[in-house]
Amino acid sequence: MAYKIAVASTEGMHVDQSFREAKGFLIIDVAENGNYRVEEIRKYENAEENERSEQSEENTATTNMSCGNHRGCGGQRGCGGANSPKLLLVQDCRCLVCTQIGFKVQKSLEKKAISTFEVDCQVDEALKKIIGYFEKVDKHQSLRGIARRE
Amino acid sequence: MKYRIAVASTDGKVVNQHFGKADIFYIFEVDTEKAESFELTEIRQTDAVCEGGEHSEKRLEEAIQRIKDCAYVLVSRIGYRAENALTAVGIQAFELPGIISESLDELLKFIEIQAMIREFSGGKSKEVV
Repeated sequence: MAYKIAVASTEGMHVDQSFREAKGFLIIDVAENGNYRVEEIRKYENAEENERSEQSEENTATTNMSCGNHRGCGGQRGCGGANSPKLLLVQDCRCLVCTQIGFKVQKSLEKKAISTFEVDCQVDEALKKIIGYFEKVDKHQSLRGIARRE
Repeated sequence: MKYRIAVASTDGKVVNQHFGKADIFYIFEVDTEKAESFELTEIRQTDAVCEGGEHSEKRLEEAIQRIKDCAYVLVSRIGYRAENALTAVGIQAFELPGIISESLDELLKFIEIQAMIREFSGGKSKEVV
């Protein structure tokens, strides 16, 4: 299964930004055979403006855990910015790689089955390890599939 | 190890219901020891929690009681309040709209990768490569 990985890096060599700092993400396309390449750089438009609204949303969420003041459980954004513009940037990725990530954002991503990795190393080094993890999981699944057919 | 997943769906084919709107949960059982990855074991009726923007505390509690034996709940969307209430009883909610079998597959792989990450990072809550 081909999938995407989002990486917070300013220059493409090192993972050097936290989720909050990131003004965009490298989107890495991982092919079925484990080969990967940079597919695109997704810029986070109006970074500052959105960051402010994200912060105010987070504040609201901590003081008021109910959905009453927002658009309820079906709302576009809900409480806590689970669908904040920055999160939407990476929502089609299988995981996110950055130096640091807040607990809330991490939970929001987890809810969409997106893993997060906090690292301090080169982009390539991180990618190789992570792709290795996914390969193991995917193979495990395919072995199950074979067993089922027998 | 066996565990159950409650899926909010109107037709049993697609994960297409909000947690609050769901009045039917499709219960899938996962046996990590067996080759079968998941199996539909039960279709469970409940009362929808949401009443047009209003949340009934009692109904939320009842809905949670109905799926208390499940480790995970799979929905198209869930509000923070319901999610927190589920977390409190040890149920983790996931928003993965789409074909049930595909969403379940994605969820199972995610569970596996999270377990693997935890193992490698020595049980720390934050995942580190």
